[in-house]
Amino acid sequence: MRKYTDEELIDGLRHRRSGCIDYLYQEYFPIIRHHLTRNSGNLQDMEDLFQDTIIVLYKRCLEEPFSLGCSFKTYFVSVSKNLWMQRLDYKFRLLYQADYEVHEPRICYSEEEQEREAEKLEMERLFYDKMMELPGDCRQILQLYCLKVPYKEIATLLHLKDEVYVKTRKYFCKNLLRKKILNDPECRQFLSYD
Amino acid sequence: MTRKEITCDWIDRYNEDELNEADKRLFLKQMEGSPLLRSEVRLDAALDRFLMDEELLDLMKKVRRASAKNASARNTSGTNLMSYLLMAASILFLFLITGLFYLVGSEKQTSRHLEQVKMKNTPRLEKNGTAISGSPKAKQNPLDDLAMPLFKASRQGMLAENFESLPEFELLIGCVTRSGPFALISPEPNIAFLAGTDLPFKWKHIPGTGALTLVIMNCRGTSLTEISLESKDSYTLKTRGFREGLYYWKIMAGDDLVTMGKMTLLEQ
Repeated sequence: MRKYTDEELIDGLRHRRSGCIDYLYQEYFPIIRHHLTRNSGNLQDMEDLFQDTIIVLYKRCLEEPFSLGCSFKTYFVSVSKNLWMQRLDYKFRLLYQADYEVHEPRICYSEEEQEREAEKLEMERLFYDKMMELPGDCRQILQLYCLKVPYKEIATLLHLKDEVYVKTRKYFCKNLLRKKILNDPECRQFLSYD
Repeated sequence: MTRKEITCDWIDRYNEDELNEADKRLFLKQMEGSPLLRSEVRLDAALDRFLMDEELLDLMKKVRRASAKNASARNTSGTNLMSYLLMAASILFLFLITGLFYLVGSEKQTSRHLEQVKMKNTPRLEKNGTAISGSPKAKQNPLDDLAMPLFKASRQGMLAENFESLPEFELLIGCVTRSGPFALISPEPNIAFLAGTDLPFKWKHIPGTGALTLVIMNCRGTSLTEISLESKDSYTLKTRGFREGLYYWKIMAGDDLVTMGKMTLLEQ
């Protein structure tokens, strides 16, 4: 596999090039795996953290101007470590319901903004997983609808009966996706009951 | 309209701003009283934004693809490693089995060799029926020592081989090559009896007959012993210790064959 320079990696990530992503996975996933093995993470956590890190870096690459004060590898590792600390912090609070007024203040890795970002990443991961469980035509209809493609055009593109059918199908698929998300235990952290 | 219908379809319409004013007020009132409904509305809005972000979806798809590709490569290498390990274990096992067979085989050969050495060292009988010095049991019963080599010699082959006849000897069974001074009365030229039974030899003594020798051979024609027949007209062959099988006997007068016969010893 060819080697990429830092500039090539940033550019490749910005344009979502498969070769660049494969390279990142091969080169940087072992670092994440090593770090999480020593910090109570399992394989699924490693996969999720890698994806989250890539997404965070992608969004930052899109921001103009974007310049690195260190090597891309260092930046990648520091982002992944921060994300993992946020997750551990959140898990700690979920498991032990730490009350900072009662207990000694502990070092909190997640500021409010970072917390929201971590929550958003988890939510997006959940949405993606559930969406991949939908039938193929459901995924296509939902995506086209969200891109504001008219029902009539969706019917033509996907060789469906008519726009009424598309509308009904879209309603069915959206509900199916919503139910899948709400029924997943991971979703409970995003719902508030009080 | 039931509460369920309000929440399911209305969330969509609320997020897409498709509710009219009256429905919108009703829905907002519902949301005020239900934190769960508020969470669902927020979640649904996030879902809509997610579905609209085509680039993000594309990125996530590529990351998952890279992960799946590497996972299958890891599994393959793991499977390959497992295959190599299994192959190595099988080869090792084969070597082990071969080695064991070799060891067992060489042990048998060693014991056979030892038996042959013992046979060589076993004292033979002199012509008068007594064993050559060196054997403490020589004077007890000469045939006791005689029996052992016979026993071991015939034990080497399979039992069926002990009964195989020798064609050259078969022609001579019952023949008398020297007539006149010697006449055998018993046993019959071809006799079968139980091993361990005594076999009496009787003959008509004729003066002038030279020294007679009784030679016992196994079915392969190997001379097992020679007994000098000092008695005038009889001799009892003790077959105690003889293994079942076919044996030939011949009576010699000096270097001349007088008569020949065979005896088949059967298992008791």
